[in-house]
Amino acid sequence: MNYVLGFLVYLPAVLAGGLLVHGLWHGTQPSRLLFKFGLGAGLGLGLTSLITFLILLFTNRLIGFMVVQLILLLCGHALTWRNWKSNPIIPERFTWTRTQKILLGVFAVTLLITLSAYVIYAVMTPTGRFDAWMIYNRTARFIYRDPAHWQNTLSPELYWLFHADYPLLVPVNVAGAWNTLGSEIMRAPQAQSAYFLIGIFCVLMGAIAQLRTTGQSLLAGITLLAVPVFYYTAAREEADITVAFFILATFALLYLYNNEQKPALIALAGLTAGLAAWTKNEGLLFLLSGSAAWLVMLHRQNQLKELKWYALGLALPLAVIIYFKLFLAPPNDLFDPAGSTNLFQRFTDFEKYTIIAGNFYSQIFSFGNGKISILLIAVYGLFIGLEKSNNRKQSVIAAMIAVFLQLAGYFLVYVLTPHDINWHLRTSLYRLMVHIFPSALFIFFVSVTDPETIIANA
Amino acid sequence: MNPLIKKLALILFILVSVYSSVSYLIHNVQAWNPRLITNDGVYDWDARLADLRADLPPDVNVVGYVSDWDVTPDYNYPDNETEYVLTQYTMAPVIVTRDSGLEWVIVNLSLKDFETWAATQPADIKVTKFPLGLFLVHKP
Repeated sequence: MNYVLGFLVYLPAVLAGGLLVHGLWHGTQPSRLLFKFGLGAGLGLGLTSLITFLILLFTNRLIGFMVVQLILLLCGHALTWRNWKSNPIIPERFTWTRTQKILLGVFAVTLLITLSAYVIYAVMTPTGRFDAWMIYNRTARFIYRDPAHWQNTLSPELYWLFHADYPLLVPVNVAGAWNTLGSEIMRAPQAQSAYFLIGIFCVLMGAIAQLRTTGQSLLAGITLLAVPVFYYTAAREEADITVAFFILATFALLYLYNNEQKPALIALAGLTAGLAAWTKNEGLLFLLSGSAAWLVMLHRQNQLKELKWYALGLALPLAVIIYFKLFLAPPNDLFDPAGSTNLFQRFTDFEKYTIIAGNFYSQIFSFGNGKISILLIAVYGLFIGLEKSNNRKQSVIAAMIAVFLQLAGYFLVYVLTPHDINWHLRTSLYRLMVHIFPSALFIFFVSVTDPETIIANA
Repeated sequence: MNPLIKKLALILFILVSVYSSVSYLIHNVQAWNPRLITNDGVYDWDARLADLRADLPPDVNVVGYVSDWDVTPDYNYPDNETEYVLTQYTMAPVIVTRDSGLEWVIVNLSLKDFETWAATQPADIKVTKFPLGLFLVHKP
């Protein structure tokens, strides 16, 4: 029952986001509707968190969580109703080829298997895991149990391990859900993570089907289903799935904009990049690297003036983040002057560079905790080769720059960390890879030959 | 690349993916433990600290915390860290700091280690003992 309540308490936001995205970006192809539902789920939850946070900030009361969701849902309905004749939510007819039907069958079976594995793990993880207790649900408890003094959760007196400076997308929604449900139902944060996980699938598969083929989209889905780390991370109520969602969405929108040149897509990308930053500090880094990707692509297309749409989408989350970081959050532990050594010493500790590089390298073989590794995916790509079309070159370059900047930023953070480097790498590197992996998978499957072509040529 | 090799690569890739999912399911089935559905370590910790939490005056916003890592060099860091994190998680919205000099201090030690620690404290501290090696110390 708690599971059902957990999903229901966020449902209006999820549906509202889908309807709002549908209203902003027309099209009724099944793949596009799938993409819009997935993107909308994350955006609806992100917007709800931002607005609930603003109410909390101005009133010191945890109110309006459900009202905010219902108002967003009403706006989504109104927009859909207004455009119903030109843009109904009725999927266009779609014909499956034999190859696609086989892949759909494999996808359905794999989905059933992985879903069963997820459910088994999730039910045995009723309160999440370490990061949930330490950061997200702990913060939610501070807010829910004493909303009048909710800012105690940002106290510099909290031990650095609790990361009191982390942005609040996830905890505000968890506290709001508990307040709506009347108790600390631990399945609510798990349901929120599950919505973001579903969103990753919808965005990944919907965008690839739009840009390439249905078969390629199904293959990407099968691959992601084979990477266990995503399912236990989601069940553990950690925010890494949420960051991964917003990073993937920003990249997918960049590719889709390259195809369609619709300003709404740029604005939505500004919003997703901003919401990544409202989720975790690593999202702040992505705000820089993701924005750099958009800057590079719009510059190469001589469309820099279109950045105004990006700024429009980014405005609300960015304003909230700037205020939060400048006036509310305590200093970050990585840059704490009381750290064991000063920044220059950390920079010039070259032994650390070797340790970090070695750990990054090992992720090529071990990331995912399953039988599908980054190495295996790369080998598969070498065998089947790249797609011949050249019309995505600018998006590929921009996205690759962003991924490189993000990884370089993570590397630099490890160089600067005042904590024991082996402990820091052991406890966080796989989660940083979780942030990037769906986007890398997206770039990969958009770029390589699709199954339909492989089967047709064989 | 030969089209047949490409087709073979595709089929192998799909098979490995399905095998990965099946392996994950088997692993989780083998790890199945129904007790965890309603009672993991967090529930136990919440229950362990419930009486102490109730005894703490409602106007206290910050309490200290003392554990093995403060009294003995021979401690298990992951266990100490986990217990500290769970204590903060349970005590929220009260802030639990690793400071034994505050007016209220939660001490999470065996009786023997507690006595060693208490010997270093002022004589007028008031101690409330709870089960399972938990003490609430008040320094007037």
